[in-house]
Amino acid sequence: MDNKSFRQGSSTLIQDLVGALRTASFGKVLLAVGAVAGAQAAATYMGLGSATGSLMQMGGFVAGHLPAAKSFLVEASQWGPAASLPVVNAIFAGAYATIALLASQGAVSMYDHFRVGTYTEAYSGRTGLRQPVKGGAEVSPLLGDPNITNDEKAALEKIWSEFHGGSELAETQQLIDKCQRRMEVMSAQGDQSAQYDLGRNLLLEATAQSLAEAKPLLESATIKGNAGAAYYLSKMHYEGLGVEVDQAKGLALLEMACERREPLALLKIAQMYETGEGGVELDLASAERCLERAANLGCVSSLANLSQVREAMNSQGVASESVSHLSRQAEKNGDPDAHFKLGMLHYSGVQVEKNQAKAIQHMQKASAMAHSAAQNVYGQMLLAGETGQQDIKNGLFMLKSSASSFNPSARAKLAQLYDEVDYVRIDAGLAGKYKTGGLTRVDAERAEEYRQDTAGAKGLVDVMPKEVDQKDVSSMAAFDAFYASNGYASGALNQQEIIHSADPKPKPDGFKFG
Amino acid sequence: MDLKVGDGSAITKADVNELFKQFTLMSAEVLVHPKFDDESRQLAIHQTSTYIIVLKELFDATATESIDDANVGVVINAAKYLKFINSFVTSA
Repeated sequence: MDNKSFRQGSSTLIQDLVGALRTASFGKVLLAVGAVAGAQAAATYMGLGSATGSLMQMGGFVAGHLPAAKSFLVEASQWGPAASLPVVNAIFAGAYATIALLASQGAVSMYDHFRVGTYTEAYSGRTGLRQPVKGGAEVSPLLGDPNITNDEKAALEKIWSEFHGGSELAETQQLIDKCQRRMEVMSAQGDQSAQYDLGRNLLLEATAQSLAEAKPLLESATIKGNAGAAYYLSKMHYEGLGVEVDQAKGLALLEMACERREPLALLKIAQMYETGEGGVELDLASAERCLERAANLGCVSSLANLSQVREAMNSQGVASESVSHLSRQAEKNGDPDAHFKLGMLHYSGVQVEKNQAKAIQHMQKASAMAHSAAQNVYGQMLLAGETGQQDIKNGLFMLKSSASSFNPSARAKLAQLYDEVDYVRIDAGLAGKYKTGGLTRVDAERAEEYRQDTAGAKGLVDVMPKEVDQKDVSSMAAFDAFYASNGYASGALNQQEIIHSADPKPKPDGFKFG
Repeated sequence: MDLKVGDGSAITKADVNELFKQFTLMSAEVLVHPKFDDESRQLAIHQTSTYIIVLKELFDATATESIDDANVGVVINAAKYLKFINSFVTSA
């Protein structure tokens, strides 16, 4: 199997997982909330690059777990403008945050804590993804870590010896067989979820016999209200799979599946609006609406289509409803997230005309409302002079504020600054701190400690800009007000206090990791 | 009674736990196995993480010895994904 086939198969399976989660009896509330939050953001940001897109899709993937979805989204929102960072770092930052989350929840064993370290190492760029071959087998980069203890080393080696044994494959197949038999029993008892699962699998086998067996199962599940079954039954009739082609019946079932919020049905309808298939009137705005709904339900496949439809809308001058909605949210409700998203859209030129001035305006507003991702982006813009003039002091301030809310991109940038850049005091200790976030040898306690870290406040002590007029704080008036309203003294921006105050202050409300 | 695999018996919490363990072992493989290119690796890392989260959630939500039948679809999907990854890394 090549990598392309792997990605295709993998995406299909994860899509199936989203479908299975929709009928699962655990985490349903989280599923609904997570799916909406995750996939909506994913849809909004599509088009900002493959790494970004992939990370954002995770918001929908992990829809069954809201905190995880949120953490992925926060991760994902960072990487769009952070083009200077290698893609691989962006990738591992996502994994890093996820595994840190697992560690903080006690969801992983001692072995996995080592893996957190591995992810962190990879993220920080201090080791490669893999080490030279030892005895014919790949070894973990951590085994070469001089600080690793004997116990840790033994545990890590055990992981490798266990996994490379290959015995798990037979056990996995046994479990698949066991689940299959169980679903057959459930199906015979009239369980619509099992009927749907079995029916769909038979349909995908696409033999004459499997299609004949699939039809009654899908019909039974459809009658009982199953959305997915209605979709696959519509496919059978529309395309003539095992039955005579009946497009009218296929379309009626497709409509039923859409009403039941089946993402694949929405995807199909959107495609019809986009292409005019089946005699449907061309309507890009309706296609966009359907794709957004599908994305909100965790449908990964809809994201690429959504990006294409929006490009087409943009080129044809058709207003995107999502942009209008965001504008309303930003203007009427002062929603910082809406400001951030609009800033990103104007920055990238996705869905709207590229407009740096508007991007800066929205980022500034969102940053003033303690939006961590906006603070990161705005901080990097200030440092890069993208706002018209390089502003090191305020840029650092923004980055440190963002870093205090567990923003990996801000941390990575700060680490880079403390490592390399001459207008910040070179400090290997601080650089290391921002690189690893204190998670190199992580455990649940350390993960919690990290989450509670008020690094932004502590970090202010270390700001030593060489080329900044330290009396010029006028441009920070808005932030003065913000910090005062969040329990900070208005003098917090006085440079002397920034340098000398060692007292960590409570971080402002905003996103809290986990 | 110790029922045989594949006789239609309910899926147990122990089955989920075993699957969870296999996923945590697999996560190490995904990180370094040379068969993955960068794009596939990022996909596999994220998806493996997702499965770990989902299985943990299922495990925690199950108060009885057997899992709710409504969740069998999740388990079989997770097992298929594990097998799929194994097939990929062991294929030529």
